[in-house]
Amino acid sequence: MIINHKMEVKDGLLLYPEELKEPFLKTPDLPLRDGTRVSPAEIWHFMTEEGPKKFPFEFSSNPNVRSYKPNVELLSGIKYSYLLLTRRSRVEALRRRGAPLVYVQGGQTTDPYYAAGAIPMRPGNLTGMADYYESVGQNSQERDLKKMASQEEGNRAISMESCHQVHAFSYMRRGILPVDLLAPCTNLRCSDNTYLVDSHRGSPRQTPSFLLDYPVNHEPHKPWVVQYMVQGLHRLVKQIGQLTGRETSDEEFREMIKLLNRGRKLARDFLELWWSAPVPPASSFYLAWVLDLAHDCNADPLAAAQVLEEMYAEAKERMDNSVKGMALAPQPVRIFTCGSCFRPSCYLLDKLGGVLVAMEDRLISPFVNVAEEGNPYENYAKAILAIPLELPTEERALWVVDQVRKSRAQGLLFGYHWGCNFQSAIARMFHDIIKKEAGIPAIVLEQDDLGRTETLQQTRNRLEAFLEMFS
Amino acid sequence: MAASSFSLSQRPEGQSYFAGVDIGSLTAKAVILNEDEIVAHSLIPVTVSPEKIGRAALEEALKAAQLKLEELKYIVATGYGRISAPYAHSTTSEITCHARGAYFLNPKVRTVVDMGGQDCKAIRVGERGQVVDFAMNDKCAAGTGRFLEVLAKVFDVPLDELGPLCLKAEARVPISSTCTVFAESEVISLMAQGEKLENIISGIHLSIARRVVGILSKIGVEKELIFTGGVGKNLGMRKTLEELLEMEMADLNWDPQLVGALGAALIAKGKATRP
Amino acid sequence: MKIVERIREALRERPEELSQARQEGAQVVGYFGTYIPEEIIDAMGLIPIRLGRGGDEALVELGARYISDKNCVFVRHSVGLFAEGKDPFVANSDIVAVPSACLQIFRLSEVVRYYCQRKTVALSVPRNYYLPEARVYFREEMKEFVRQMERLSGKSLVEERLRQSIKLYADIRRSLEEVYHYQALEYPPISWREVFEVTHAGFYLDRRQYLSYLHELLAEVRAKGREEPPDLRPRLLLFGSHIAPGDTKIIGLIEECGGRIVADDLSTGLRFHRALEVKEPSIPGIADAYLERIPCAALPCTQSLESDRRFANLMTLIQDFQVEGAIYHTLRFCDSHSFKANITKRFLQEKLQMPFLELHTEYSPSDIEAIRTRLESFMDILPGRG
Repeated sequence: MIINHKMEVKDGLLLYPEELKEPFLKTPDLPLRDGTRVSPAEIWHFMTEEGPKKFPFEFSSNPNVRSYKPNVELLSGIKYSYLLLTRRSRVEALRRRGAPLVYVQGGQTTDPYYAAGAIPMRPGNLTGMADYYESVGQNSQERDLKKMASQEEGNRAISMESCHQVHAFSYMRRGILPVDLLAPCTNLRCSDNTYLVDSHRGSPRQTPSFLLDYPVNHEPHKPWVVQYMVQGLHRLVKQIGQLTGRETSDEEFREMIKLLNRGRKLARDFLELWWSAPVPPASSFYLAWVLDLAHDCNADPLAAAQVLEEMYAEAKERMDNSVKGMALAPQPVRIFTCGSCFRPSCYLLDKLGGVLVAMEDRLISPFVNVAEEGNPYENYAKAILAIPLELPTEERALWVVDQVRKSRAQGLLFGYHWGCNFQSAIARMFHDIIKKEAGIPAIVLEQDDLGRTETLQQTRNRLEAFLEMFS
Repeated sequence: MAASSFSLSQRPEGQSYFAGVDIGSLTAKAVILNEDEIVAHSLIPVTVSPEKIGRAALEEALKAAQLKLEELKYIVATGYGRISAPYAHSTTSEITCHARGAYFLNPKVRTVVDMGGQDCKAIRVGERGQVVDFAMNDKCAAGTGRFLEVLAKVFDVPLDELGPLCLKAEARVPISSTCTVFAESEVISLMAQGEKLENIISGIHLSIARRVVGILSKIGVEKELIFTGGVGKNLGMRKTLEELLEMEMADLNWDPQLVGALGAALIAKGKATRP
Repeated sequence: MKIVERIREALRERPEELSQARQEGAQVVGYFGTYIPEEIIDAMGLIPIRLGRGGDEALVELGARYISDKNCVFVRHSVGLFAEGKDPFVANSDIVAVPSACLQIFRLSEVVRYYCQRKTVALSVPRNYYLPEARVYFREEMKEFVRQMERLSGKSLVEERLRQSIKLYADIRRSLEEVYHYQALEYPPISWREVFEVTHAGFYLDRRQYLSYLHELLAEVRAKGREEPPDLRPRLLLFGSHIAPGDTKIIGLIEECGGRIVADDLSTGLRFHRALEVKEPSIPGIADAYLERIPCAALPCTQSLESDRRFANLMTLIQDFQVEGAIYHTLRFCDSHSFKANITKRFLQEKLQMPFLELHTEYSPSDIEAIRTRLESFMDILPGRG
């Protein structure tokens, strides 16, 4: 059935309309990695009663709030939001059963971590989760005041010139975020991250750490690079094993690769659907959700795969019935975003007459396909060493040019966060290559409000001016 | 100069009016057009409420045009205060407005430098007056109108005298443009050392101009180049930019500070006639 | 000192000499950082030049047009040098080599390849430099580096020449180490600043000629008697971000405020030649030696501070050179150093009760007075010596 509903506005909150309850209850249970299942009735109850009370900022009816989503187009999106809002309690339950919470890099895939029984989480999600500890019952402004103070505390303790990722460390230093192991990949799209791990040695609360070395100047075919990475992966899995008290077999690693491959394939299929439709079948935020979920699975690869499957099926049905995204203009301007830690407000993008067709840093997952038979360490190392985002800038940009053509993108935003040295360094170069090779307008945006609940005028203004170029 | 010297496409009958309101961080501006020409304009300094000040600018222009608000067929708001302009029918970013305004005043324009209170923008304009590329300063006051305003206060000279003083300099003192606050202390210590006012001011203009040229280099400069925004009135800045760019800017023959509001009014006219 | 004057003179003539050599077919390899082995470049019959100057704000701005203003001042300045094209050493570089230790320098190589059409080579440096597999990896990368250099230059690496080059650089390092020892004496025959300058000359001059200058310098230094009263100014350690030739801002201010630098942990100072010993005259031997040198702060470390080689080196320096105060210099957006400021401060204060001052700055002169205020107050808290 096709859903095209507006959220109901009540007391400054956006709530799910009651008429969605019946169709939602007909959807399948959500299987979780601990072996339990959640019924749609439980999810509906949480998302309409408990959720809005505890986390009003996630339901805000203020259109400037980053999470503002005034419509419902895919019922499975409710499950996505459920996973988001229950992340903290799910992580707590998993930790009680011995699964360590591991800090990873935003640009990396997470197969070995999940395989070894850990909960890998990138800085943005860790910060988001800690916010949930801190901001129960608060509105978006109260929440932002607290978040800004917290981030500043991190900046003072480590460096004023750090990017927003310092926020996660600020929480860890204060014992608000129970991270058991710091084990990100080095270099992957970022340099701040590893220096933050390094500086955490001075934290009042010590956390074991291990850096999985991802050589920056690599060529995927060099055999010694693969071997070096394989050895690092073995160390990583062993280190997690010291926390869980159990060993991980190659078979377990292979099984996890299969499960994550399933999610990644669904994301790839979803993307193809999105690109082949004359106008994408749903509002932009659904694409962002699919790519996010396939990438880090929100602490539960099993649940993630199920939600992705439902999202794909629903989107396909919409497309087969020529239903376009509710918030989209009749001929929206197709926008491709590049760079890392960059996220325009999807609501704003749609409202200004655009539609998101790809996010470079979330295209990693759909295009990573780990071989399922044979040595999982080698297969995994080879697959991640081929991630286009990590290739030399010229090759990376040409890969994007290819995807720009395939997605029929009309405009490209290259973004990075304030304080980022590694992506900002090639922002202009990347932008110039895209304009030259793809022949589409492109701009560079520096974002400094990613940690905030509300987007800032400076960012909005630049986005608005860019979309006006197409009118 | 007389506003009526600009003629829009002639229409045989009827008079409809359109307005653009540009609510910036330092000033609010309004321009009213009829179907043929610019009827009136206004410029007032921003006080506290962007909503009130935008309305006040519009009312002043209405008064000059002897019109009532209801007679305006379409209003477009632009500038950072545009979101708090409930009287406007729609909003457009200043980038598009400056391109449109500049193109109207000089259809040969291909590059616009707009220096306002908050931002410095480099805009490439296409053959139909559309924006084809743009770049902006990073989010920092150094290199903007606010930077000059802060320093004018340090020198205790009116803002509009900075440009003429800059042109009187005999030498240039190197000044850093990295941070408004630091530049202020640098200037104070230079003054304490007895450095000539004009030379310091010239140094400041050079440092800001270098930043602006850096922004321009990202989009590439093509003739004609037009200088808009509040700082566009500053002849010292214009000369310094011309020196660094090794090219002359085209004349605007109008108040550069009103170009954004003019662009908004032109967009209003377009929206009203092609709904 | 007479010999220092002669070295300066040689340095002034060097650009012309390089242009001449290139006209006669020689090729120059301009490189950055501390992981590109000059031994290999020299043994291939190429001329190594360590690139990068500092101190000119206009070049920082010029560089930021191509790379970003969120990059460190030195990196922006370096891109500015390429964009401007006037620096004779940059202009004369046929090949630009960078190590991937500092990721911003790695990006620099991408930017100058694209915008300035430079031939570039990157040497990948493992970040987990202390693990055994990193050594295997780096040996392979070093071989790959040689292959790339051979391809770009058309020259090949001859084993016999490699032995000679290794010996040459060992002699240079030993001489520099000895000169360094003299500047720290109570009656110093040469100042730290002069030694710093002489070290920089070694980035540019013909290395064989340079070695003979160093021998002469040593002879002169050894012969010098106690002509002047003892130097009792507070003894300082200067360390932190890159201080490139031409960047005299902080050093000048320290001297103006009455401080005396006696030791440094700078990649353009003592760290350039310290604890670097090639034991095996081969490519793997060179790889091992460079990996075992005092690591660049751009390489992150997760070991305890006590077992971190960088921190161990700081302890040794402070003790060996009887340091009384530590000045940690960080350049704007040099994350590899500024992120470590607080842990370094705490470590030195806890282990050695060492007074510590961080100076966070850039090339622009705007903060000179602010830094002077900090330095003057710092000097006041140091123990008096005379």
